[in-house]
Parts: sequence; structure tokens; C-alpha cells
Amino acid sequence: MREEAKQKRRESLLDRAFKPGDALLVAGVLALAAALILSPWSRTAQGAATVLVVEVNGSEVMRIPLPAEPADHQVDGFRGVSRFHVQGEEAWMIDSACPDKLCVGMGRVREPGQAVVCLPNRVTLRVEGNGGTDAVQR
Amino acid sequence: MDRRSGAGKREEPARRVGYTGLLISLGLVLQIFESTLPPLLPIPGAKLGLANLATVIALFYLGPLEALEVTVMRTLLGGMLRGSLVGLLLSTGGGAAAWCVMTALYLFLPAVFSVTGLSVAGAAAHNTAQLFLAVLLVGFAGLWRYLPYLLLVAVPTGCFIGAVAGRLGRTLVTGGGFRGAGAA
Repeated sequence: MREEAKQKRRESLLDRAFKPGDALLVAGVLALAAALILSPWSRTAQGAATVLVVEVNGSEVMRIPLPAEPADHQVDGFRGVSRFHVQGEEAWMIDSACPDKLCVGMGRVREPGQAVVCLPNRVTLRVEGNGGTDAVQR
Repeated sequence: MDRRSGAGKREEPARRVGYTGLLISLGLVLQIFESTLPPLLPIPGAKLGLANLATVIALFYLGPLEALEVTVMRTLLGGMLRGSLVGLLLSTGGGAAAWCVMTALYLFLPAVFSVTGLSVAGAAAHNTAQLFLAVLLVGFAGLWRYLPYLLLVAVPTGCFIGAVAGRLGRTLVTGGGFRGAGAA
């Protein structure tokens, strides 16, 4: 690209901190997010929680019917052990062999379709409804 | 207007290599720094995107090719330093998507958006691509549930990075060329 063309673009990009186009873009992103949140696609599936499915790297390793007696469980993930707790209709990650512990911070899952995911360790805990496959898998 | 135009054409390649290297290391340091911060929100992938600052600056300062170079080198080196293949794939994929969208806006709509708009679009593209890759890696389509929240997060973080890049750009690029730093 010619240096003059680059300089023109540079000046245009830097001449103001905020332009009407930016506002439009921000509004577009927000509208898209709102539409996705309100869409039936992201609505939680109905019905009682019945089973907690534990997967490592996409394949199922454990299936715990809910509600369950309070207990700690552990699975071997991609990087090490992930420990989670199941109690009643809820499950949450206690510890995982990952650097950032986002999964621990993700809190509890209880409704069908919800999931705790530890990406580095490739472990997912997800609640499935009676039908097995939910709206989530559409 | 440009001070460097007087410096002569022969210095151009050296300047380019120097600034590209500088921006790669800036991005790398920001990426590493950010990974030491606690997560912003309990949403996987929700982060400030500090490292994108280097790509944004490279884009308007040097050009699209250099911005791609900065993004790819930064994510490759960062991935090697962290030693995580998943992290490498996610950050390279996200970075490449952000570069594509920002470059498209840079090339085709430079008059419509400011750096802030570019950065917001880049952040949204980054988060979307990263989520897509995460869905592929984990094989769990339910992760798409986080998409709207990641898009929401992209707005303030993109604005922040864009504002910083703009502010920095006005000072760094010109040092008194098109406009002073006070314009921000």
C-alpha cells in the first residue's frame, strides 16, 4: 500500500476519539447481544435437572443423577485432576489443574443446559434435562 | 506534515523492522502481564485484551501486513512461553479474527470509524472466534450460551483499548505531526 494512502487512513482514524460510526457499531454489537440473550436459542431448557454429565475432551466420563447426596468427585483431565462437588441439584468446580481457575469462579450449575467449563483441562460439567438433548444442542 | 518524510527513503525498511519488533514485544509483555491479572468476570474469555493494543497501533501506524505480523508473532511467542497449545490456538485464532475485521474496516471504511470503533469490532471478532474455537476443542455447543455476554464485554474493553491506542497514537505517531496529544 502506498505510504500516502496509509497516512490518509491514519489521520482519519486518529482525528477524533469517537465518531458517529463508532456509536453505530457499538449499538449494533449491543443489539446483537440483546437479541441473542432474548432469543429462544439461549433460553434455559425446562424441566427438572436430572443428570450431571462430566466430559473430558468431548467424551463422557461420568454421569451423576441429580439430585445427589453431597459428595466430592474428581476426573483426570488434559492437564491434571479436576475436582468438583455435587450437592442436591447443584454442582460446582472446587479445583482444577488449570492456570486461571476460571472454572472455579464460574460458580454453580443447576438448570439443564448450564455448564461449568475448564478449557485448559478440557473438563466440562453440564446439567442435562430429562430429554437428554436440550435446546442447547440445537 | 510528516517529520520523517525528510529522513529519506533508505531509512524506511529499518524503521519498519524496528517498530514492528517493538510492537511485537509490547504485545507480548501486555499479553503476559494480562495473564497474571485475576479474571475480570466469571465468563471464560472475558478479558481486557490489552495485547490487542499492539495490533491496533501496528495497523494504523505501520499498516495491515505489519499488524498481522505483530499479531501472529505475539501469539506464537506468547503460546510458546506459556507452553499451552490450547492457549496458543485460542489466542492466535482470536487475534487473527480481530485482525481480519479491523483490517477490513481500515481498508474499506477508514472515514466512518475512529480507532475506538476498530478496536470494538476487533474485540467482538476476537471473542466470537475464540468461542468458536473453544466449542470445537471442547465439543460442547452449549458454550455458545456465553456469546452474548462476550459481545457485551467487548464493548467496554474495546472502547478502552481504542481510547488508549488513539491517545498513544496521537503522541507516538506524530510527536507534533497531525495533532498534539491534548486532542484526546
